[in-house]
Amino acid sequence: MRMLPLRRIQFVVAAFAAVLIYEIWWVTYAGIHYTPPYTLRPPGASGEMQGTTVRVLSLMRSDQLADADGGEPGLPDPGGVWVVAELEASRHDPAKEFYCGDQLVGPDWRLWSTAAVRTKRATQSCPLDLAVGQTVRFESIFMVPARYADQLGGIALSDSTTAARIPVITPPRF
Amino acid sequence: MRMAQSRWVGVLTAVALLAVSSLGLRLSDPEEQKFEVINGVVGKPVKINNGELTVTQLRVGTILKQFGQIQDSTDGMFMVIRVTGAATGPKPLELNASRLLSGDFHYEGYQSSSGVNAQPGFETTVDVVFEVAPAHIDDLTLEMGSNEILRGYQQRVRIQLGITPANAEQWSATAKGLIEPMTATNRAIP
Repeated sequence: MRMLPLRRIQFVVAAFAAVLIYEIWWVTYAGIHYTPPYTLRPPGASGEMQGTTVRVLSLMRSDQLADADGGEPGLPDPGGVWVVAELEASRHDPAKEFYCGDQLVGPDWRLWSTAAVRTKRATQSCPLDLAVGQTVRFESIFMVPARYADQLGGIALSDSTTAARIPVITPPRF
Repeated sequence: MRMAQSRWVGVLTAVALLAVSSLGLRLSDPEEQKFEVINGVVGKPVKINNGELTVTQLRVGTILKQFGQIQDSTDGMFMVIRVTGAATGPKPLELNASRLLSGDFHYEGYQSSSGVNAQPGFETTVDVVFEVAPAHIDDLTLEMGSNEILRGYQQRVRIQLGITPANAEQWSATAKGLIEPMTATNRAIP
């Protein structure tokens, strides 16, 4: 059996150790200092996320969510209110998958993810199987404390797979 | 000269490896305390990163009922702790790991999800279930924190549940019969 030279083993181990130390330092540093940068787009302007152009058509608040089958309307948790964003998306980059991930922006950069809604809605929610070249309309539903409902900043197109600035888009009349 | 150089490389590599392994051990050792402990008591809110945590109720039993049916029974006792997590700051409150501590005894949550999470401006109340040995509940303390492995700054809340060596037997004696955790509730912070 041929023995590996000691120096080569040392070099490989040292390189591995250096990479490991760098990664641990970077993860710790990023955890402490990283705050996602946002870019506020003009009212009605689109934003880019995961190879897809997204626009907000409307942003409305409501105390009830209408059921498409005529059932009981969906009620928010006590002290909360629904915020329904109607969005339009057009995927143009086949190399990137569209995973949705839109969040509602509130005061002091509070972010709310989409709510789990049991009510059957007439408009579809964010489609995960969006075809390239296809334009679809969908809605994202958020629940926020009622006291913040008049201080909303728009929809953040958050994408954890990239360090690019996060566009915040708003409807034409905002 | 060549020999001496090689020896130095060896020594430096050994030092580097020792540093890496000790760092790795620190990161992987769950018992190594590398977080800030915030102590509290039942009934009073404890401030933590991104919010507050309050323990409001402690119940014990031997038969666990959930979703309308008997789920399990124990020779020890089930302990159901009602906790409320409020995301008072701009970020979500994520305390998704909890355990009970009593001296050298550590009890993990009975269910896979045994934490409390709340979106900004909301507070969520959950019943966290544990199965404990009645002989080892002295000074029982609930510990809650985030279960992220790598994080720059971690805090854990430790709340004394009021079980002392003097009253532990009373608690064990009370633990008889059915106990039913409630489903989680959520509301905007008043």
